[in-house]
Amino acid sequence: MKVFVFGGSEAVGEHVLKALDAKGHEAVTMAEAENRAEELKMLGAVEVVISKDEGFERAITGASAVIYIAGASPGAGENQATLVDHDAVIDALEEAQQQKVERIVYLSPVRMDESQESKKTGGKHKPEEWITKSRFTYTIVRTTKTVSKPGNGSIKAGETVDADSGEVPYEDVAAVLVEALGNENTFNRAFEMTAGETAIKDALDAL
Amino acid sequence: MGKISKYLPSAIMSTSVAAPLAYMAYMYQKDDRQKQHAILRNFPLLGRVRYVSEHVGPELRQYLFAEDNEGEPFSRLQFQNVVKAGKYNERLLGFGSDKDFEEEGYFIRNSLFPKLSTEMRVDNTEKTNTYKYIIDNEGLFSRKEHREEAQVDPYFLRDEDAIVLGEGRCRQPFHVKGQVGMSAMSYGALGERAITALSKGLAIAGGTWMNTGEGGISDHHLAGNADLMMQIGPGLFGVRTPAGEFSWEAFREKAEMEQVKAFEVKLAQGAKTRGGHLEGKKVTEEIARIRLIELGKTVNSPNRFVDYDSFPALFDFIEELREVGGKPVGMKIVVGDIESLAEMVQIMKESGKGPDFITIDGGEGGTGATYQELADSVGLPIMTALPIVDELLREYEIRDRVKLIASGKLITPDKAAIALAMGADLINIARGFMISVGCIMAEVCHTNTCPVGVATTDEKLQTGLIVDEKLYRVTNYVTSLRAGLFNVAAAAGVDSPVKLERRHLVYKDNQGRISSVDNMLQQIQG
Repeated sequence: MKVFVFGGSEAVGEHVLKALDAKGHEAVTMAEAENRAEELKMLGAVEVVISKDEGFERAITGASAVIYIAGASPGAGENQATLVDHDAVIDALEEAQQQKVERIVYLSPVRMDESQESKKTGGKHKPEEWITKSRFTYTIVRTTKTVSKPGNGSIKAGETVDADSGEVPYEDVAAVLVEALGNENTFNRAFEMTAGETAIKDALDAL
Repeated sequence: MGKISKYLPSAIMSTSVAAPLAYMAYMYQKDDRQKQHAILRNFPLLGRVRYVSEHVGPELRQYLFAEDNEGEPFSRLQFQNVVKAGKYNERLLGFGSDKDFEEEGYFIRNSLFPKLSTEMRVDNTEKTNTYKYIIDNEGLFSRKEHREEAQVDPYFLRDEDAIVLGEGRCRQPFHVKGQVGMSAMSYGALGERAITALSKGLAIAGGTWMNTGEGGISDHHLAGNADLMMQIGPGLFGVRTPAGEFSWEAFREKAEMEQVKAFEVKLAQGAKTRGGHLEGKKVTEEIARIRLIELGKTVNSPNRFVDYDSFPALFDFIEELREVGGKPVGMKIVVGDIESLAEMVQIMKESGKGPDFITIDGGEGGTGATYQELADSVGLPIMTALPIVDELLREYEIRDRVKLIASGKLITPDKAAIALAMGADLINIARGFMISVGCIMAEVCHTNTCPVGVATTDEKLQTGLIVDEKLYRVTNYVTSLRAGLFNVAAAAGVDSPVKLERRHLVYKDNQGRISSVDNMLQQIQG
């Protein structure tokens, strides 16, 4: 299936491209420069749009799914000004919807214990609210802090997970996003994930 | 019983005063009567202060009095940079450089429009799994830190940019995706633990190589499955017959090994342009097996290949090595006799023969046990030697087929980058790697008493060196060196360190005057 990856050039994104390629999907993403685009193709992307040359509108045509990785650290402090341009997220997803994309897997960028105060200035809930009301078959994945460590292939997932300090390797987050893509048990629901002992597929099946 | 306890305190008291006094009196008269040292005859006892201070001086200076930029062969800061890169995989510093900018030296000409990280031609698609240290809290007397797993970018060159030794000239050219590797260090010079840690660490880092040194391929070199460059020295260790002749059979056996990627014929090295001497008692069963020499028998090796005393003879030997082995063959030299080098390059051009790569060891190269007069003043330093060879090869238009490997104190990314810009394709590092596995520059490599178990085969001293700990320091050192090379390239405005050229350099003298560095050969030829 053709999958458009927003944030494919980020740390988690690189692993997503690799995992999609390994599962036989056609990954399309964006990069800032030609050299970076080549590197993303080496990772497994079939097409990379150079963002300074053109928008993503053309490349998203014909995609069956979108994986959206918003690039803000979940470890960033509360009560900061907006870390993600939430309006841009919504704009992008509206375009995807117009292009008849049916499926979305959205990696939530902000820490999951976001306070009421933070919600006022942050706005993490905005894209999530939009997604749940949209026509997409959605999966919202909220993760604890992501780190550059080798993946374990195992996590802990649930409606809520109480693990403030749990660190999840980029590789495992990427594997969850790609696994969720075709896992019907994750359709139209949001869940939280952190480091754990359960194999990724089993963890998602058991949600 | 009562009597003893009554007199004991005063007995101890008087003994503790009398004994040292007696000892001092004895030493005094001994110093006074001896005929060896004038200072002790004139100033008995007191004169000993001189010898004690002289003995502990290097350590005291290093710990207390040396400024950060002082100290040879490597300053405190250079040493720390290597250690930090290995341990923390971190090279950032705050509040600016401590370098003395009044001094003369080479500087990188930075571009006003440096490359963005997304514009670099790097290959970070295969991440490297390693371990690094994180500092939790640092106090005056203690530092709390812990080691954790990490996944880091390897900073490989793209496949198209990879340096290829022996391209189009042998059956199995050697593709290297990184520009730094380990210079020749034999098993025996370094202990098995150090070599094992290096082999494993280099293998994890990938895109690099390990030169076996002239002591042959040991099991420890093979331990990690790193790419090997086998060195062949005048002693012919590992490729000789019992009588000391070159053995084609032994060579073929080595060439068939999967891990061996290239051969290097060693004509000279920076540290020693002298013959070797291997004491019979050091020739253990293992050493005898690796080097193909007789157990327990002293081996003296000459300072030159006895059979090859001219370029045509040497090149015929190299041709045959390449033909039989099917792998690239290079040679290691120290630059001194420039006329002779010009002749060599001319012969290479005319005959089409010669090495696939030339390793140029700067006169400042080290680690081998040698004599002070050879270490200090024989051979040109690398930043002079390298451009001369580069220019000669260009002049005769054979630069494409001969890759250049530079070595000589290039242990930090800036120094390595300058050498690349000066004409090197690859960088060889020895002492930087020794530091990464624990060397503290005690400078006793030749005595087998290395206090950190690196340059020693002593079992007991080696117990201090934990392979599983140090191997990741090697991995981190290599990856951060490569990251540093990309940093310098980006600053110079090119998208890969393979594109660094002399136009990216400038030489500044101690009065602030600058000159370009593109006419080294002209200066010599007048």
